[in-house]
Amino acid sequence: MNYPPEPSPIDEPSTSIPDILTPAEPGLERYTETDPDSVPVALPSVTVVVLNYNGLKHLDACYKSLRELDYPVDKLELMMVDNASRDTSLSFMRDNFPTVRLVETNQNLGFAAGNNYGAERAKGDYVAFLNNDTRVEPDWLMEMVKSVLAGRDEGVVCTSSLMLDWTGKKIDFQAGGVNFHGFGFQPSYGKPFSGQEIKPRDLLFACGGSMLIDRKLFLEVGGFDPDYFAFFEDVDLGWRLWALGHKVTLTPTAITYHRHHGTAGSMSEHRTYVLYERNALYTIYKNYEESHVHTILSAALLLLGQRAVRFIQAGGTELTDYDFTNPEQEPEPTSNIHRNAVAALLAVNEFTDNLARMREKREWLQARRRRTDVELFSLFGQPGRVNWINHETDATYTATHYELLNEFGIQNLWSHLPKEVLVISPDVLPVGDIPASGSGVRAWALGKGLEGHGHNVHFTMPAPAIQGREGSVPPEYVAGAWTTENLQSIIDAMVPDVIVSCGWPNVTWTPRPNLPLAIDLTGPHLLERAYQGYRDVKTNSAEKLAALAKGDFFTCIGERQKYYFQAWLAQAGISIDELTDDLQVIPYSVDPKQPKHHWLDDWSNSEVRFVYGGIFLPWQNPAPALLTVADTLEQAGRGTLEVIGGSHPFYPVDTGVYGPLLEKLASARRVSMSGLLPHDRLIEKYTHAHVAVDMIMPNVERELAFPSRTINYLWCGLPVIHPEFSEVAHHISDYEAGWVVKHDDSEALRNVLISILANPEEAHRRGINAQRLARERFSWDDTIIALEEFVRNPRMRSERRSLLDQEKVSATGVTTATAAVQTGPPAGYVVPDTWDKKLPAKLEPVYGKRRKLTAQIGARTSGLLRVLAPRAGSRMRPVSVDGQMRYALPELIFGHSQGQRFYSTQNGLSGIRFVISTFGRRNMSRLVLHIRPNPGGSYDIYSVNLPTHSFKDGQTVAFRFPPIADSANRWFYFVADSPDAVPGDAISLYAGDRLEGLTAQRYEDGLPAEGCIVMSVEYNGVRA
Amino acid sequence: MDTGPFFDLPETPRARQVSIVIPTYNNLSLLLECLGSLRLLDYPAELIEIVVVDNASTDRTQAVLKDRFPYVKLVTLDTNTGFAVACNKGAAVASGEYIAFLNNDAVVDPGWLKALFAALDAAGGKAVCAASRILSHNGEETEYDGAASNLFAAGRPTSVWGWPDNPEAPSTGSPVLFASGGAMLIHRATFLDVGGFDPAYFAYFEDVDLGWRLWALGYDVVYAPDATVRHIGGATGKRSGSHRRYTLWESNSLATVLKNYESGNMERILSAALLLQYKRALLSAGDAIKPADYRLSSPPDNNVSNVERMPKVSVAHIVAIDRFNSMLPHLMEERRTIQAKRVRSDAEILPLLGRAFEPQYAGTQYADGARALASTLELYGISDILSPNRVLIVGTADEASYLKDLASRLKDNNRVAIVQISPKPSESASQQFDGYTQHTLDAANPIVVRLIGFADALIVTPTAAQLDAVRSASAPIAVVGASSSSIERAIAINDPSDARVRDFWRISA
Repeated sequence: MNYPPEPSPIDEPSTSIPDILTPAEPGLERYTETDPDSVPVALPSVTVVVLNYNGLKHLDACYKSLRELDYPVDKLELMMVDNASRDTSLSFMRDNFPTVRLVETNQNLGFAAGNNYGAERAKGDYVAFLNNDTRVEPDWLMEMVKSVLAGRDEGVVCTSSLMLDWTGKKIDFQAGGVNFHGFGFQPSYGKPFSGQEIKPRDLLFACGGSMLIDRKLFLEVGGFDPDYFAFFEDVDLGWRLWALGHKVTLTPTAITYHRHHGTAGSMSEHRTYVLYERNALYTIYKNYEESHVHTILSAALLLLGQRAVRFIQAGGTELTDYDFTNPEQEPEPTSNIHRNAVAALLAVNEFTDNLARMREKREWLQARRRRTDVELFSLFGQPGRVNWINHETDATYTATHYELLNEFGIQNLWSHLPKEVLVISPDVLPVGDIPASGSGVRAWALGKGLEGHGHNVHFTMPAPAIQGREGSVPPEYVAGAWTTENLQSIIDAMVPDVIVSCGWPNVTWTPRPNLPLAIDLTGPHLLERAYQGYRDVKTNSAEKLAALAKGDFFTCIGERQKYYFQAWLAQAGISIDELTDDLQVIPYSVDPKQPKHHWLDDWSNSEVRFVYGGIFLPWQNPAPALLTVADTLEQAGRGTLEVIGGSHPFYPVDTGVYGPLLEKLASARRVSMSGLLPHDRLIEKYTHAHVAVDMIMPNVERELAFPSRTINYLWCGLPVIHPEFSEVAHHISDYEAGWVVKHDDSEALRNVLISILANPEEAHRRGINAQRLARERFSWDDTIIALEEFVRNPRMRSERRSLLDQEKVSATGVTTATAAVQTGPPAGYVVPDTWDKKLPAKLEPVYGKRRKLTAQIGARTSGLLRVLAPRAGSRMRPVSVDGQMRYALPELIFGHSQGQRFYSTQNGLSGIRFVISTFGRRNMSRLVLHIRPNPGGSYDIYSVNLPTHSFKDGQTVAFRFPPIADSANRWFYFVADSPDAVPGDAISLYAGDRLEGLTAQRYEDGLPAEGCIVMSVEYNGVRA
Repeated sequence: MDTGPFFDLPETPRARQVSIVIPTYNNLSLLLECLGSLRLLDYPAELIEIVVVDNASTDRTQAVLKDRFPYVKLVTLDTNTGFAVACNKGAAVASGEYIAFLNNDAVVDPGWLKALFAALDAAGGKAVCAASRILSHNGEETEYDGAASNLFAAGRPTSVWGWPDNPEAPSTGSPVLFASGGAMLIHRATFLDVGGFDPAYFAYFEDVDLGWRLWALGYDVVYAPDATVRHIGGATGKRSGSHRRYTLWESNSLATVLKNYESGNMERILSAALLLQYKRALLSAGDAIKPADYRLSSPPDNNVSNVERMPKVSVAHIVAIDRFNSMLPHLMEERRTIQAKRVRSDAEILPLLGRAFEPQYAGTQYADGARALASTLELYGISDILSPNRVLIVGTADEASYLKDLASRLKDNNRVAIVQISPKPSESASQQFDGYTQHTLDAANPIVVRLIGFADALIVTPTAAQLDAVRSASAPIAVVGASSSSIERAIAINDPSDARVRDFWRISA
């Protein structure tokens, strides 16, 4: 037993997507306790079928592990189906594993028919299919057999093994999902594995590379569909089994180790793409019910075309050449298109040509089906998952994906199922033991509200915000924190159904994420920036408009803000029609479960405790009110005031009037002060106080802002003394949840304070009302509804839609042009371009000088890099190259890749220069270099295959290709792999801590990693 | 159910106010010829308004019109917004009770308008739109004489009306699926009420869609064969590359399918239309694509750049999908409106189609594939609501009795015609029998081509199978009474009583 494998520090998995950010596994939880003592007496006979095609190098490891299987010899048949290999696999087997039954096919039948061939000839009651590039644990088979036998009564006929990578440190297959148009995916692929408990569960399909199935039934239902040749045949089989009324499960205790893509990795990508596209069409055509099949097939065919169009563009073709109004003559009769476009075309034509045969299979299945499509969608994982290609340019693709789902009514079929949601918080979340800000609490409330409706919500907060305090935050939040560099990678690895960004600044760091994006416009952030003196209004406005244009749905926190943001959204190009539906108000929300407030029964020995809490921000001025309170309490000789707060814990925000105020309050005798508190402890304070002094002077920002701290007071059972101008003042009056006072009427405030001191029981009564108000108006399970509907049926705004809207003929024959600027929000909240001229005096920053701020951000960023550097160094060998310290990355062997995503600043990207590490030896492997649009993309723009034997250590190699015309301001992904390299005969690339003059993110095995591959780029043949 | 929201038309024909709307783009000399022909119209001048919509021409069009044609109402657009939008703008500013749309490269006969109105009046109440006969510039060829479409909304300018009894063009007031946008008359309020031409189409097939929509909403479109127009230019579209026209054709016919078919039929026909579109994309690429390069089992190739050169016309079929997708939300909105208001079912409209499975791409491989696909997707179930299958029996005079025997077997389930090939042109004749028509024609007579062109299926004798017109037919062919055939794709049926003869076009797939 070598499981779990000993962890070794050298081979620590590279940066992976942490648990918290991984989509929930599809499938229903079906926890079945397998009691080892309840093993049935009669074990069934099993044939283990290993399909082999030129896999000589894998066979020894595979069959050695099978020879160790802990299963009665008389019940076990080991078989190898040789799919007409051209290597010496057969003689190797005869010489080394003479007891294995060898079955030969005449030609390469492919994966599906090859396995069927074995199953037809197998003698066992069950058949276990195993890939040849694997090895298994000795109890692999017994665990699967026990698990199927235990579930037979419930209809289990097939189970999947847990598949790990070769070293057992990462998950290969733990769950499989499929989207509505038949593309399978493995949501846990690449996730670290350290022996954590994985529960048995139902799965849509068992991994064809390691599974057990009732042999007779397998053959009865038609086995793997031989028309597939390879890829997705396991998805189809599982889907078919479920439709027929059977069940498929995961047996997590049956463990297989897999060299990933030992066979498929060496195939040309455009050739496998034909099979993926074609087989997905086969799957949906066969398996959907009659009432859905044509609708979904139409949508699938339209999406296939949209993917093909992307590949047409990837080949260098401009779609404008196909525009009828293009004035340019085009004498050229052909276009250059990427081969995958041709592959898609061939795929759909093969589908058409074989349709009659598929129809027979379809009819066979439909006549026998026992479960509806809608029942099966719950097993899909994410039925609406976007088939990922290239997030840089595919806003059009994903928009089309969602338009088809919505317009054809397809999404309705699974709108009852939970969605995967990523909530991006701009600030510290209320978890752990550090203070959270209002915007972090807001993010939490939105996420929790969605969770309350069943969705799977993943939170991420900014890594710099918790820097140095990581120990006070739950580890999964530390690991899952975002930076400007990794935010896109987090999104790519997860492919959530919906992204919720709290505030627009988060999404200034990413290109359009090309997934449905809800932006919560929590406050007039631009005004906040103005108060902070952060850059100039014009730059900020432009950044804001660019960020807003990425959104598909918007929420804001109050009715007043709605009018303010409508004007901004209209300027960002969102049409008026969309604004009506797509901008909704979600007030600041709190947990429906409220903390208990501790009221006193007897006031005779106690002071009435007034409290004021929150971060000190320059746009807030509570000074007149707090000084009045201090003064009144001192005169009355009763009551206390506690001011809890401090400057912003992360952002370098000026504290405005608070400095002088605190100096004055310091001398007040009935006033105490304490710093910012973690969320839980703040709540503790509030629930032991009696009245919140919630008075702030009005200004532009305050009139628009929704007073989140007010809702927190109410939720804790604190009655508030609240200014009349605020949006929630009428609620406080209606509910008698406090006292509403004019902001500049210090006499009225004084009277309120005196009345409270005289009769604290009235404060108690109003405190009870406060909690009632919070529950009835601000509970997140109720307030979330508008956003929840968007999450349930996500959509993307089409940038193309408005073009048509402009030319609609109305009933009167008058053309209606969409004129975004003509909205009519109430006067007072519109912020025109010239707004900065109107408010110069008020917006004058006090301390916030630009230079100071830039320096602070710079210091924090370099601090972050320092944190990363030691970790990076621990797993790389430092060498001096060109007088600089470089690290050779690990050997580039089959199944692994080294890549770097980088930002091209110019047009005509034509080459990449990087430095080779040979480990001081002569290697015989080949190096394959690819340039791709992004790490998620599966296709090459260009690729080249090089011998490595003449490389010298430290040699700079240039990968050159025809200039990419429109490469400016786009991300590209450079990746190297070496499919025929083995440890000891492999090269690698050099990396360093940082790169000069190139914005880049390193990737290892397709996942973000620390450091940077040492590289530079060439534009039009000239080194940048 | 005649509850359609049509407008009451006056009972006695009278001269009606009409606005002639001419969209134009950079074709001044042709436009001047067109305007010149309008001066000669035999119609009260005070009832005619001429509206020219200039789609941002870059030549002197605007200046010349203002200078020399002050009576023309000129509408100028800032950009070339396409044919559909220009027509809609013209209709919006027109003051006539009717609008006549006219291409800028057309000249009209003096009797044009009167003939159009005559057709509307002949057809009666629900007819709101009339189609002209469009001839080539020398008047020798007919470019439009009634219209039809296949099941996938690829419009064609000639109709199958009257087949097989009268293979000539349809007569005044006979129903047609649509009127060519190049020269048509339509009741203005109705045009605006149904939404005009769909601006998303930009150009091509917007007239098919309008006609289809008019029928669905309860109106009739009729033919006015005496309203003659000569097409003197015919070049507006040709200035752009053919791949640009293909992009519009392919996306716009999908749009018409999506908008106008009933739920249930739409999804089935759309998926078939898409599969056939991909088929055309592949076949039109010819040898440019080598499928072997895309087979997993093939040896590695040297194309490291992963780029292929593909004919633009072929690529246009895929780019058209992008264009269709970009129109989707708009089209679905239109669809919901049409489906909510429709008063005629698909079954009532489809008989106007013509040949349901007329291939959009020449080539027997495509035609056979299309039939096979239609069979698998059960589109024949939809086409059953078409008029009965048009079966043409072709043979020679000495086989006459045998041909009649076949016709009498088939006539109950099909619309049947016999072409009896005669060596002498002078012997041309038509004869009506009980349930079928027999034409005696020489092989060179263009009517033979027309009859074959519109037949859903051909049943031919071995002799007739040798005719060029038969060999190039795209419809399925059965050769009866023969053991083998010179047409490879034909099915040979020895026994004419074979049940397959009755319905063979379905099984021939």
